[in-house]
Amino acid sequence: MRAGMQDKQIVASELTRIDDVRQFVQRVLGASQYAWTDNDLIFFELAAVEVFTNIVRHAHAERMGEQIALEAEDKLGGLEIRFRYAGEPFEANVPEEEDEPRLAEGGYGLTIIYGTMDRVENDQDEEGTMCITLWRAVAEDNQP
Amino acid sequence: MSDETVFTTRKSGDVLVVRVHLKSFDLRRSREFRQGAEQAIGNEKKVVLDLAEVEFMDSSALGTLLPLMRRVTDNEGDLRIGGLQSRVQVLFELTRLYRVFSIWPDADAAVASFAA
Repeated sequence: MRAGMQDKQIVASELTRIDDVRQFVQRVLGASQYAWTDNDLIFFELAAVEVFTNIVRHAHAERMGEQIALEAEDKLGGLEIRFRYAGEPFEANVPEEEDEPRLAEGGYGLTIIYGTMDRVENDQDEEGTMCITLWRAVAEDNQP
Repeated sequence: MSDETVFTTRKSGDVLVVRVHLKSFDLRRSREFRQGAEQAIGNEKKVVLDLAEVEFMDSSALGTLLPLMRRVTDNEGDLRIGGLQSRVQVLFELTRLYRVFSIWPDADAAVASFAA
């Protein structure tokens, strides 16, 4: 059994770094002690990109030269990806469950984040650093 | 900003096919796509959006498709989509937008569906 994966990367808070976020997700899922499926990878990539672009567009809209720390860690039964950044809190109201699709031009980001992750947390430490945590459980069949 | 061509168009009979050339169709190019595509679609009534080259799509890109569909349907036409890769298909399922759009395995099938 592999040791639990831990990884970290700092990326500039710029939309041009979206590919870096996707590559980080691909790397950490590949290094995880758990066997993640293609669907798991898609879900993590979708959620991570939505969180990242939300921070860049909203939390850092008026703040040039900011950075976002991406952290990933194997936890018991799942994998956690964290986004640490300085700035305004994440706009993370849990979207209401809807049977019918929304026909708006925007607002799909939170639906994607909450639809793909088992848990989404939004915290702030004593120094004011924001932390958004995405957590997804691994299927029982794919546990070591 | 990338110099990658965002999309091209071609006519297949009376159907306008809009092929997106972005591997990652996301916030970086979604506004540019919307503005260009609206202009390219103009008053066309039969439109196919070919997403076969798109490997990844985010919520902002998804959000550009509804105004395009509205533009075509307001003109008593129809916009159909072909060629969804697995990552993109998941996005349509998560947002349930597969119920809104007419989705076909590829652009040719979507074009042919207009004749059926």
